Amino acid sequence: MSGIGDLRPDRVVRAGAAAAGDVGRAAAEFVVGATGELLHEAVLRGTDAVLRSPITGEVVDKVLSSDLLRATVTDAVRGPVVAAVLEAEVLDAILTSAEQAGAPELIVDRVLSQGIAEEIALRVVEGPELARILDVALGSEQMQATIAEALDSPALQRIAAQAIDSRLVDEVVRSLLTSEELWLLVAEVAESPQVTDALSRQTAGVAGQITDEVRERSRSADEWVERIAHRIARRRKAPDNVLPAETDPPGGPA
Amino acid sequence: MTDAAIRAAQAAAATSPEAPRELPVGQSPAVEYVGLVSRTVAIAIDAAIINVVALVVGVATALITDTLGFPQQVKDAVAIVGGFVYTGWAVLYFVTMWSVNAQTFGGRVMGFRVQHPDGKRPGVRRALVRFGAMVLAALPLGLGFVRVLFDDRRRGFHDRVANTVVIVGPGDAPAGARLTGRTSGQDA
Repeated sequence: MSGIGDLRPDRVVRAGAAAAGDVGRAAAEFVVGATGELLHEAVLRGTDAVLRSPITGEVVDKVLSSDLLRATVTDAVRGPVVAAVLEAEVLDAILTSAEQAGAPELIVDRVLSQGIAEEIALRVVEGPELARILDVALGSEQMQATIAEALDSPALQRIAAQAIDSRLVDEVVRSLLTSEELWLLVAEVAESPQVTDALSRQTAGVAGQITDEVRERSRSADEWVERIAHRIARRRKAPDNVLPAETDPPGGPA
Repeated sequence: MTDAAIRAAQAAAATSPEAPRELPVGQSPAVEYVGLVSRTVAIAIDAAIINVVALVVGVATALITDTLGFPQQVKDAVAIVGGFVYTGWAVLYFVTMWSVNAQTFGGRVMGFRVQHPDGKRPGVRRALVRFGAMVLAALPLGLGFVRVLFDDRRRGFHDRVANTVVIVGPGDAPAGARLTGRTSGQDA
């Protein structure tokens, strides 16, 4: 236990010095803190003032519309920025984050709900690109080989057989046969000039073949009848006591 | 005859297709005379045409006379007139066909034509003579046609009377060579 008798001058001095140091340190900290806050507040207010001023907006507009900025951004995007992004796998990280956040579903939902999908489909169907793609695809040997292989496959044949045997085909055929439009179409086709010309040509061809056949046979019959008539005439002209020329005379070769 | 004369005759024939070609003997194009069977088929076709038309007209006339209630005497007169009309129709058919186109419809089907040996189409007078001779040839059971079997140019009685020949060829083509023998190869 310490008592008043323990107070020594050196200790008192050290204690006084320590107390003075603490006070000074605290005062210094207080001054620094207050100054920092004031400075921070001043910077914020200055920034607000700068951002709110029309001059700043004008400056930003000029900078954004300047060729220098455009060229700088273009050069950066073309080369270094993209390379840096790819090297740092930033893109993968961004995509992974977006995937985890459900961005694909959100994008698809918005595309479908806002009719963008229909617009894209319409643009693809009506645009020339689809025809070009189909031309290239159908002209390629690989595609033709794939199609031929698919057509020859037993699975497709089985599907086709099932489709033909299905009740749907029967219904379609029955409704077609009972539809008035089909017979109107048949009548139109039958009365078309191309069909009538073809039928006329075919009929004329058949008639010509029959006529040629009749002519040929009648000419053969002409010859045959004349041969018989000449033979009969020769026999009548031949005297009864003269043997025919083709008969061997008596005593001739055996 | 020299080659120059032959060439001149061929050139003249080539430049005037309407005129009958008069080629020298032995230079005529190949022709084929038509025999008895082919002629019989053609005559059958012609007879069918003539009789079908006559039948239609006769039936129509009979229906009209029956419908209008003509007396029997009028009907008999109509029948007699119909007989003359039938004969006239047959004469008209053959004479017109021979003189205008050198072939009847039956001849067209069988592919032959009737012509003078010089290649000319038979005129109306010659066609009339030929038709009359054809009727005469048919009267004795068709014996007048038998000569077609033995004639070197397959000519029947009516062909000899009218001085015509029947050759294979289209109706509108002038075949103007003087024709002798069964084919031109036999001419000499």
